[in-house]
Amino acid sequence: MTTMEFEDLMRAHALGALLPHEHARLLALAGDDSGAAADTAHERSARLGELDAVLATFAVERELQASVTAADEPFAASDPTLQQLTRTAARAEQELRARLEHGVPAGAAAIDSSVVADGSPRAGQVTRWRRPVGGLLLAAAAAVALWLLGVFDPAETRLDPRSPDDLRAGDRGAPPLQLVLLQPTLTAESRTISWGAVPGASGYHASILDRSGAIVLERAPELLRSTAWELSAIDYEAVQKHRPLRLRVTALDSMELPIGSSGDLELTLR
Amino acid sequence: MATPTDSSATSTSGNGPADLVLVQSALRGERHAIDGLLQRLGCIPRFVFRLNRSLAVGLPAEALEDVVQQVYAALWPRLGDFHGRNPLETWVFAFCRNCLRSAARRGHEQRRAAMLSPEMLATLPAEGGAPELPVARREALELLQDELAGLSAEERDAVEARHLHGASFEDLARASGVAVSTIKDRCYRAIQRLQERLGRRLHPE
Repeated sequence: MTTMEFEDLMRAHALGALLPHEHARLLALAGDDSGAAADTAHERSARLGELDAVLATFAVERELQASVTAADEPFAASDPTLQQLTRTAARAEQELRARLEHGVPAGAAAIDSSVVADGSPRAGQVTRWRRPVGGLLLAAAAAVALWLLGVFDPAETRLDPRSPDDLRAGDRGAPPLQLVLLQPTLTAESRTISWGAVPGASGYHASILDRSGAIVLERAPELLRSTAWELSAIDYEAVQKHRPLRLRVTALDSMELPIGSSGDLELTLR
Repeated sequence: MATPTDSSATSTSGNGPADLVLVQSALRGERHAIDGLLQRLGCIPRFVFRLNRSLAVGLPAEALEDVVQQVYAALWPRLGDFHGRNPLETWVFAFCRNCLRSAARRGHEQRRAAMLSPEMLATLPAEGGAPELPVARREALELLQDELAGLSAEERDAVEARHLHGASFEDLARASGVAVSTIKDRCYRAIQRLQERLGRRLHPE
């Protein structure tokens, strides 16, 4: 038995890629105190036990998620607490519907979810969303005016330098992500997509995806550093059959790790 | 040439890519997509209710109402970030989880602060409830969530996609725009860190 074989199997186990016969081999190696291994069987068994414990916790989390997200339990619908929460959700949905219907950008609304301490022994209060109807109308009018003035150039896509995952779900006080949803447009005569440079980026990966999220076209690797992508006439014709299309641009650092993303933007072909 | 209309904008199937179309259509203000999206977000009260019960968080109804509102408030500015790698409900579950944890911790801190005042302590909501999970498992899940929060975004994304959602490395690589080997390295580094920080606590010798 070699230490390298044990380490290789441990890595495969950590990645969830261990085959059944390999798992049996790993167990055997963990308890094998013969040979010229650098560590003892006790140490290997302990490491394997710790890894198994971590993976088992992931399994419990999967079970929890599956049970929580499962279909409705008929008897639970009559629970008074659940009914109360459903009424609360209905009010929140009305707020969200108003924002979606009025076209308020997802990152622009100053939603105040901070706890308001009012001295009461209650666990916390949520500041109600403001209802600036006049402000919403003004924002919508401003957006239309800017669009007419060509400020939102459909050929340019701005990238947020922060990765969306840097903002944790449920974080309190995290600033809203300033992600601008634009719709790049290509024509047979104008087949170039471009975007602004991202601070700290060494390159950009750009791809076009179909409805299922499968990549149908990727920019050539030798163009990594460029902030533009010109499709050839052949490629432009070839992607037509995969419509509707989405464009994804990912800013990469010097290690080719993503540091920013446009998300998946609708790509319009005229 | 007009942009094709996507007839699958109102999805009820819980499919990641279809849900992405639904969310993006709703963000564009398409009425039928908004209806579909809000119908799907109707899972939030159910998730909060079940999580509170399964994890024995024990928050009272009033506090859970706040959690439900906080989930909507947290989710709204992040709708544009939904990548569609997993169904919408999976994405929403994470918000419900985090908001409930935050609320539970605020409640715990308040109770600690109130320990100096027995009168205040008597008026605060009691802990407990009907536990669905044994205490050891609940504690392990709490430790895991704490340590996942300490990982880098890329490592956390890789390890959660692999070990919670069963994604293949090829799918992850394609979605992230990096090589398969990079994804595997991130996942392995994440597991190693979790093992270093949690291993002995989860598996005491």
